[in-house]
Amino acid sequence: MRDIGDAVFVTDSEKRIVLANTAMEKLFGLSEEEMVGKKIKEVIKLSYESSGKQPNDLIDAVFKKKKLVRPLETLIVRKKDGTRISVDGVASPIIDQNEKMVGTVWVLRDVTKQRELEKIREDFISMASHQMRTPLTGIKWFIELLRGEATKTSSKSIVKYINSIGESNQRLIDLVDDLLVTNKNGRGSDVRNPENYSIKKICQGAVDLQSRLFAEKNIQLDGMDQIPEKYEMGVDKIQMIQVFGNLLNNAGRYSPIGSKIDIRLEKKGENYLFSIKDRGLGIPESQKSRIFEKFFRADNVAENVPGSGLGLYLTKGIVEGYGGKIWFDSKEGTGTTFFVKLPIKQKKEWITKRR
Amino acid sequence: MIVEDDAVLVNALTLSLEDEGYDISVATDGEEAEKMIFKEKPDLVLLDLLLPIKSGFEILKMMRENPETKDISVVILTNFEQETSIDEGMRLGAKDCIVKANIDIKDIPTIVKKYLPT
Repeated sequence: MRDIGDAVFVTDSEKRIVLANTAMEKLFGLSEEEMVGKKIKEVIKLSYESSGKQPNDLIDAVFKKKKLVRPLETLIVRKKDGTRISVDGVASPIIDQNEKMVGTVWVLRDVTKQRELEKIREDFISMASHQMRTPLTGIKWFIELLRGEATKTSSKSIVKYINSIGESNQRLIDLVDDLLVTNKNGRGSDVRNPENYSIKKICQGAVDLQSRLFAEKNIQLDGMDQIPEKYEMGVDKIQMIQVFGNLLNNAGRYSPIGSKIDIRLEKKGENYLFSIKDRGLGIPESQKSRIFEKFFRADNVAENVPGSGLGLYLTKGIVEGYGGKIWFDSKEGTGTTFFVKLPIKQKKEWITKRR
Repeated sequence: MIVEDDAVLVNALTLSLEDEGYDISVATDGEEAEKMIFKEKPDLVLLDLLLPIKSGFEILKMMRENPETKDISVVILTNFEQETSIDEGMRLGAKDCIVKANIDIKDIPTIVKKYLPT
C-alpha cells in the first residue's frame, strides 16, 4: 500500500489519521508523521471545485452512513505551498466481524492533468459552437426574409428550395445546441432549476415543438388527453421538454407518413412510467446495444434520415441524472417503443449530483 | 439602437425594424456603443454581449451607473447563453435575454414593441 500510485490514508473511527502512504505525503506536501494522530479536517484541506465548499458531507456520509462514498464532483487540494491539485476519490468504512465500524480508508487520485485537458476541450467546443452560431443566425434570418419575399413574388419551387435550405440550416443550429448541451453535461453541473411542473404541460411543450414535423408527415399522436393534469414532478422544465421532445422527434422522423404515435403515462409505485410508441423503421437487432452511444446512428437510418446521433445520448444522460431509466422495445420494420421511468419524488442528492 | 458587431445580423435586424417605422442607429463595437448611448439616449438598446473593445456587460454596467442612462431599456441579444451570463445580464437590469439563434427575425419587432417604453 505504501508505494501504490494513488494517495491512500486510513483513519480510526474518531476521524484521526492512523496511516498515510507515500503518494499521500506527496499530494499534501506533509510527511506521514505530520499527519498521523490528527483529525482529517486538520490535515486535508479539500474543497469542491465549483462551490469551494469543504466536503463535510463526504466525511459525514462515510462515518454516519457507514457506506462507501464518492465525492459529487472533483475536489481541489491546496498544498502547503499553495498549488492546487484536482483529485477524485473514494472513502470506504472499515467494518469488523461484529459489524462495527473501526475506521475508514480513503483513496485519492490526482486528476489535475485530466481536468486541464477536459477544460481545454470544453472551452474549445464552447468557443467553436458559439462562434458558429453567429453566421448560422445570419443565414437563418435572411432565409426567413427571403422566404417572405419569395412567397409574394416567386414560383412555388423556389419557395420549396428556400425551405429546404432553411431546414438544413436549422439542423446545423440544433446540432450546435446539442454540442453545447453535451459539453455542459460532461462538466457535471446539471438538473438546473428543479421545480414542480405539470407533466402534461411538459409533454405538451415537447409535442408543440414537433407540430410541424407531425403535420408534414400527417402523423397522428394518440394519448395526450389520457395524461392526468394533476401529475407533477420536480424537474427542470427545459431538460424534460428536451427528453420528450427528442423521443417524439425520433418517433416522428423514423415513422412512415400517415402513421400513429402513442404517448402513455402511468404511475407505477414510486415512479412515473412513460412510453412513446411508433410504427417506424425500428432498430436493427445487431445495433440495439449501441443506440445510446454518442454520435451513433443505426445503419437503417444513417443514410436516409438526417440526425446527429446525439439525441438519445443526451436524453439518457438527463433521465439518469434524475435517477431514472430509459430503455426500448424494437423490431426492425415494425416500430419502436421507448420507455422512460422517472422517480416521482426527486431525492435531494440527485439534484446536486451530476457526473 | 442596435449594438451588434456582425454586419449580416445588423443588416437583418435593421431590415426587420425599418419596415415597422422605427428610427434606428447602429453601433458595432463597445466603445462606439457607449458614446452613442450617451449622445442619443435611445428608447431601447438591443445589446449583444461579445463585442470588440468593450463587452455588453461593461456597457450595461456603465449605463446603470450614470443617472442619464440608467433608465434606458435594454434587451440582451446574444448567442452566448451560459446561465451565468443570463443571470448577470438580468441582475444588471436587462429586460430580457434572448438567444439569437433561437428566434425568428419576424419576432424582433414584437420583442421591440414589448420592451419599448410607451
